[in-house]
Amino acid sequence: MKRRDFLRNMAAIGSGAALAKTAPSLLFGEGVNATNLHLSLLTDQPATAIVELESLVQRLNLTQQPLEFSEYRLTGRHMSDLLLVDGSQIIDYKNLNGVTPSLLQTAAKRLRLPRPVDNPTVFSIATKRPGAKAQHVNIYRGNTLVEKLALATELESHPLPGMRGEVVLNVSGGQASVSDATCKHQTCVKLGKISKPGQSLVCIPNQIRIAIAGENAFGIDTLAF
Amino acid sequence: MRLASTRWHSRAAFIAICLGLTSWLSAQPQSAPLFEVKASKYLLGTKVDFSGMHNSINDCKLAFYHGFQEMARLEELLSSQRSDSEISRINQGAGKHPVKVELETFAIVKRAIEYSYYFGGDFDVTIGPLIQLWGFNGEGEISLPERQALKDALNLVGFREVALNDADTTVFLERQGMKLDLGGIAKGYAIDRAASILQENGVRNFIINAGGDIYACGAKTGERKWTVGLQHPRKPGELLATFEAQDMAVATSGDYERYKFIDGKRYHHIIDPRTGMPSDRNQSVTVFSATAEQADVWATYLFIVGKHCALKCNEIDALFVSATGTIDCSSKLRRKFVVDFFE
Repeated sequence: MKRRDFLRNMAAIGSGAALAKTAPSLLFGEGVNATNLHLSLLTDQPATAIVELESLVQRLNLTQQPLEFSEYRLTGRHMSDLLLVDGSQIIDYKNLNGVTPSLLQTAAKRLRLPRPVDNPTVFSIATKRPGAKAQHVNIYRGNTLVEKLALATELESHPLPGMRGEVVLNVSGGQASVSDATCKHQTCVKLGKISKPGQSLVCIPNQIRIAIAGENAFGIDTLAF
Repeated sequence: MRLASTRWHSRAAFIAICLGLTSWLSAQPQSAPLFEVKASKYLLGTKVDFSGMHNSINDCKLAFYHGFQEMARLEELLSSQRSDSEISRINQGAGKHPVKVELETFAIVKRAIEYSYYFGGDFDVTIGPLIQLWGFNGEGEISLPERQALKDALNLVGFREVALNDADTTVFLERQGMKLDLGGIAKGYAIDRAASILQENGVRNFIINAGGDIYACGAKTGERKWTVGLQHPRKPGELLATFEAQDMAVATSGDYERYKFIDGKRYHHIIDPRTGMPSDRNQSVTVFSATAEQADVWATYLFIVGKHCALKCNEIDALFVSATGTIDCSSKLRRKFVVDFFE
């Protein structure tokens, strides 16, 4: 994965930010907008990276509101890197001057970024983004992101290999659903179609989770069922 | 000369104060960021989600690790799906010999028996043969049982025929074929244990969700409690209600997760131990309680008997969605929680 692809993918996976498919515009400002921010780090040094991320968040003075932290694994070879998206703009720390790019440069230097790594972990720290549009479907097997699809895609009977068999995914008209799964209770099939950010379909036996990226549309922290 | 010296001293003092203040200020830590850390694992036959508020991601992750480890340990001990669990060993010894188990297993079996007595058999921890017959456990197909098979399985259900020996922590199922099933209590207990572990490890504000059963501890922030959405039992992906939760557990028993339509009729996994058939009084029952174990047991019991048959209904806060879809909850519940219903 090239650096530019990483930047585009990470921004889209985590934030659902409205980034253009072409090269995103770059921000030259000094400070960051602490209300709409997404920091991603793809690394093969998880323990060190978290300490570095915490330190970076403190130095960026992002202490005014709670920040969501999440992580997942990727398989295969990827380019490790650090990405800060402010609003819908990427701060290109490599080519910019100023306080924020400088802080990012220091963190990147300590973590020896960018460089190719195998089976990395992706860390994500973000502010809440209420009202984010549903744009992507992220597919996880266990805690590993195995596929990322645009919700605008038209996809029929797409097989997702799971722990016990497979889960058959359909994406149509901005909605994702499971038409079949190698499991007994077929709960993920019965859950019907999902289309709102934060909604997910889970097949427990196959450990497959199909999630619409973004902040929960209902504004809830968790779902009782 | 004297005046100049005084002025010099004043300036020096001012500079010293400024320098001191500057170094003091720079030595002060900036306010620490607050992270909402999330993690999930597949445990207890479901997906378990932890979400915690903490200043240190690593400390929170470490606490989560210990919490997940605890749940995995309990799964090994209490699952009737695993042939090597203590519950399976008890079941394998049914009608043959008492089985010595760890004190913790003994204690939860004893509590389950006590609940069974308390609810007069409407909740029965020896429901294993019925669950197996219907095929809701294990790999077999879910199917409508034959009348004789149902009668035989019902015959093997009876919490009064479990002999507990406190002196040597042995459990004996008195008749061959009897089976314990902790499905109505073990998940709740595991949530409570994980909640204790998180607190012991310094995470005080968190929410645990294990397959829809929840424990919420503390608050999300100083200004905001945890907000829980309640799944609509007949509209997948839609909410029935939202409510705020703090230092409390919520458990739901519903007919919409594990079920199968046979000849146009819905057959689900919550079996009435008196009839051997899925209870059809409710679509869902949600219980609000101090512990997840209590919420888990009560939700199962109330789902089976229904609001109007429940003799002990006033002891607990519960929200019922009846078989016809009527929503009913106590005024006490409405006073205690901000419950917003969706249209």
